[in-house]
Amino acid sequence: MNKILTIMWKDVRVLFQDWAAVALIIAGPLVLALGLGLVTGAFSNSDAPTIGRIPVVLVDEDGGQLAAALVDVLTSDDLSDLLAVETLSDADAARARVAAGDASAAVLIPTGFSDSFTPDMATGEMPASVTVTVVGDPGAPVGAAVVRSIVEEFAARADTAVAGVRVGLTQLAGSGAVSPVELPAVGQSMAAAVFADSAAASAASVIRVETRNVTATGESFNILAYFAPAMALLFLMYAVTLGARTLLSERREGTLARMLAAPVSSAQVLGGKVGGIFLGGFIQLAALILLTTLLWQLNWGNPLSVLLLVVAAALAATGWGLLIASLAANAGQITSLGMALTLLFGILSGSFVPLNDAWPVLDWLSRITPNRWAMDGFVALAAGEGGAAVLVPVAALLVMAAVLFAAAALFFRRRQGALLTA
Amino acid sequence: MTTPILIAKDLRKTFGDLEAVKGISFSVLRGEIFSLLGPNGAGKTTTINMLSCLLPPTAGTAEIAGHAIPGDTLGVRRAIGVVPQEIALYDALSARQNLEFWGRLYDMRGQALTQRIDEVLEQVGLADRAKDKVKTFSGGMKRRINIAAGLLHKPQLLFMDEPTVGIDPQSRRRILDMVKELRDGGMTVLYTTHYMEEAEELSDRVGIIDQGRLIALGTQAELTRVVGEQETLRLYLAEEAGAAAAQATVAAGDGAALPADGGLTLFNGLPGVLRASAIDHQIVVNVADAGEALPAVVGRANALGLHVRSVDIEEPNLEAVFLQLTGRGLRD
Ligand SMILES: Nc1ncnc2c1ncn2[C@@H]1O[C@H](COP(=O)(O)OP(=O)(O)OP(=O)(O)O)[C@@H](O)[C@H]1O
Ligand SMILES: [Mg+2]
Repeated sequence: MNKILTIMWKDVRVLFQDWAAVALIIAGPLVLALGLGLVTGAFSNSDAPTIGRIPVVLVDEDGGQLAAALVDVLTSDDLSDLLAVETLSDADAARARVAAGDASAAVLIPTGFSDSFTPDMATGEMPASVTVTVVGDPGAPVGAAVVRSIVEEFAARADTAVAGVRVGLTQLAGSGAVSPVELPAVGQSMAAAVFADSAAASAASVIRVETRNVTATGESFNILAYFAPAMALLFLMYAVTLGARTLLSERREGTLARMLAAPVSSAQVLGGKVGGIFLGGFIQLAALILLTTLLWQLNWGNPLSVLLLVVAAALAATGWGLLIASLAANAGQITSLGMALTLLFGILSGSFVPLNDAWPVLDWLSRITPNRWAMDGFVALAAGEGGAAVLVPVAALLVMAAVLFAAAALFFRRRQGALLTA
Repeated sequence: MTTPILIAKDLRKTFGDLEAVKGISFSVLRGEIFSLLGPNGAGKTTTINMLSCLLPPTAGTAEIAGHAIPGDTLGVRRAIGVVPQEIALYDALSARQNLEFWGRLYDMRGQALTQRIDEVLEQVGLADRAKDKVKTFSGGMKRRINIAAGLLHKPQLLFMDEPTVGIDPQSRRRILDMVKELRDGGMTVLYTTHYMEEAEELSDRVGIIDQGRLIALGTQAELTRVVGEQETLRLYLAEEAGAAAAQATVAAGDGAALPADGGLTLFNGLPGVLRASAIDHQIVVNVADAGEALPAVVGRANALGLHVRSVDIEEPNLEAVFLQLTGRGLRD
């Protein structure tokens, strides 16, 4: 195992010492994603690539005391550097603004929100809870997340405060100090007093903050959240091509023979080489995800699911690299074949222009590309879907990898003895 | 000093129709430098490849440090170090990174590996270039790192396959001195070359290999005894010797006698001349007595229109042995 890792690590070192290659597989996708985004003209989003004040639209359909408190928090001086809040009267209009990318999030306070905190006087029961909705733009995930966390914090405080008010009211009514008719007014004023203080946060919230994302339907989606993975995957194919090339170039240069003359089995050498191709691709994808997260605040979604998808995509791409290497006569052919396949897969999977809706044949053909499956997964994750969304893409990628590895092994065996000679 | 570390028995290798090695047997003794001397295509590299378990022999067996070929591949590989004929390094990595990689493949790690790398870099005189990428090195420097990579794990037996091909005289001098130092330090070296001078300078024993066969084996003294009291005349010409000699032979009217094996007939019949051959700009003539043959040979050459620049008279040497045994020069 140590020897396999040694060979893998050597290959990664060789790949990433080559500045031209690094520029191509790391900077290339970044530049192309930006370029395609600009050309497509869909940079509707304000918090990418730089973060300014987060545009928020606010709709208060409740008008009650608690709603007013939330509006005060969101429009307070403390938050004015962070949030640019615009008040609207219509919830649908607010949603439309988010969908159009004009606002990163909409905070919707529905009718009956404040009243839901006052117990029924006859029964002492709490009314059914009424939820505040935060609608976030998946293309502006950071902005949406900030607004969400502010509303959640408010909800947590309200919860604690309301619990206190309820206990107080029950005691007042039980002792006869206050007549039942006066209770609502007393309750309201107690609540107001409580909200003037800052109560401690508690775990469970009476106000449920429901967060929803606008589904990814073309124009409402930050275009970078599409082109970044598309270009990363495009160049992943190229990165594995560079790796696969070394399978033949090492034979030509005699380093393969030299490895085999060391106390290393040919299985270890092969394992190391294949692992090296995979690791190169994995690092390239991972680096791009990290960079776009840092540079553009792109939210790729649940890290574990993203990791799974990256591993599966790198494996499938490695499979294609191996297949090319097993068919090519020399290193030069691998480069040409790899370049052709990279572009073909990019076009098929709609990496440049999403053609698949118009051409069902393309959609069908795109299933042989790792790009398409991985894109399905990445887009779903960026839209905030859970880990289940990547199950099918990951399974498809793993099956693809297995089939390609087997085919490559077959072709390599067919030209065997060829490990050293030729 | 007299126990063999390597024993090869009737090794053969066939590539398709071509029999590259036609049954070679020899042994290498512990602590010696053993040279395989032979021209291009003689089968030197093929033999080394079989002995380092890179190519399975078509027939025959060998034993290295008690490990059998075929059979104990791993044992053999642990015992040997290989310096391949073609430079096998990663251009994109630094000298140190290359050596780290090759060292790890021989189970070396950590501090021990770092120290050993410093040692071998010192040994090949490139300690100050450790951090530079190999692609910035001259041919001679690459050759030296290529050797260093084979030395890292202090192999009992080191295979060096034409380690001085295509480099400048200083680098070659350095490498030859290093090989002797290695032997003096206790390492056994199997050295292949097609330079007679290298084999003569380095070897305790020499095997002469030609067309897949070992045609002579022994110490230099033993080998030169083959040619007896013969001496060698080396004529340096202005023109390429082979073509010029052929032309002269045709012009002299006995073109039909031009032998296929590259031997020259144009000095036949002169007193004391045994055989002659052409190499580069030289004509090498084996003679029984240089003093007797010299005037006649030079006279004949001039008469045939060859431009003789200078003539060397040499004592019996390996070149003469090769010429005697094959009728050809070493580098034709
Ligand atoms: N893998 C191979 N396939 C076919 N023929 C080969 C192969 N390797 C070597 N040969 C042939 O075997 C013969 C011996 O080659 P080899 O490389 O062993 O010679 P060598 O003595 O090392 O020559 P040189 O001094 O040029 O390195 C040559 O005719 C060569 O063409
Ligand atoms: Mg050779």
